[in-house]
Amino acid sequence: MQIHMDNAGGPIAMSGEFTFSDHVPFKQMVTEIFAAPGRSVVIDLSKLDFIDSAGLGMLLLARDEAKKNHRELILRRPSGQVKRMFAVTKFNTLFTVEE
Amino acid sequence: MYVSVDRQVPADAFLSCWDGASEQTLDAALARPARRCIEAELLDRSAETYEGADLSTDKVLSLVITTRSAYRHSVVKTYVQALGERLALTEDLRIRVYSAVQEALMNAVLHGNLRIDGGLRGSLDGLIAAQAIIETKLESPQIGSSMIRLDADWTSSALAITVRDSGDGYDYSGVRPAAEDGMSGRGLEILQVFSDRVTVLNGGTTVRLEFQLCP
Repeated sequence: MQIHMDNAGGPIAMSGEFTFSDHVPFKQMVTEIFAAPGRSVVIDLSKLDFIDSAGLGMLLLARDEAKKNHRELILRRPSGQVKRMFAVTKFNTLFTVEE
Repeated sequence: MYVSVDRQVPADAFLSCWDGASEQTLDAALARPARRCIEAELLDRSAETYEGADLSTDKVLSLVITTRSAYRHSVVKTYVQALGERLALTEDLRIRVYSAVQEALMNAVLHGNLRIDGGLRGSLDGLIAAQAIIETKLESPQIGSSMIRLDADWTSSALAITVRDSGDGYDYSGVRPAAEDGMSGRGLEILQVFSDRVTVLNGGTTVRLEFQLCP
């Protein structure tokens, strides 16, 4: 899994496969996101090819971290397998998901 | 990578060896005509790895790897690609197979062979704590080199994939579905949704996933 961030407050993008073994860079990303001021955080998933149950769990942990910091986490444009996993697990009801 | 005929299996059973280095070398090791692929580190245990395997058909693809490599490489993605070169997988079926086998494999690695406490997945700090434990266990020769085995067999109408670990087993009857916003517990649900049939065997060390192929 690759994470693309810029310092201008633009959307963060994830690409590749997001599975359990990606938890170290994901934790680092979450720490950096919520260390900076702002209101909503957008993660662009359009180039994320695959996610497993551990990846879904980590997104929920990030959502909880956002709530603690009075921020909103928005997931943008999931597609393919990721979109299907969101549907199966009813993730669309747990996040703001932008198509 | 080399393809050879192992003396301990029938002469028509094509055996390849993976060096454990990368997805690229795994892709090469799984290329046709290989039917069975073993990670080099486990070659001296080849008799044990093929115990009970049906060696009479070419409609099989077996992969035996260490826990260390199963954790560190995108094994399932490469394995499903290799299956797709042997039988027609629609995009729908490819997604279902990839998703279900990935869940079964990570369950075999984390809970079967590494015995990682699922409670550590309840927080980001817990995940970091889990990472230290995982790395220590993966460097242990006994645990890091313990086997994970994937076996696929198929006909014109069905595909079955079995994932085996070397652990002590797991009581799936006690597994409860995740709460909607729960951090974990979705793995079994994903197995059930994406495959047509899930069977847990051998005290929880083996999961068999079955998929109907489109006519």
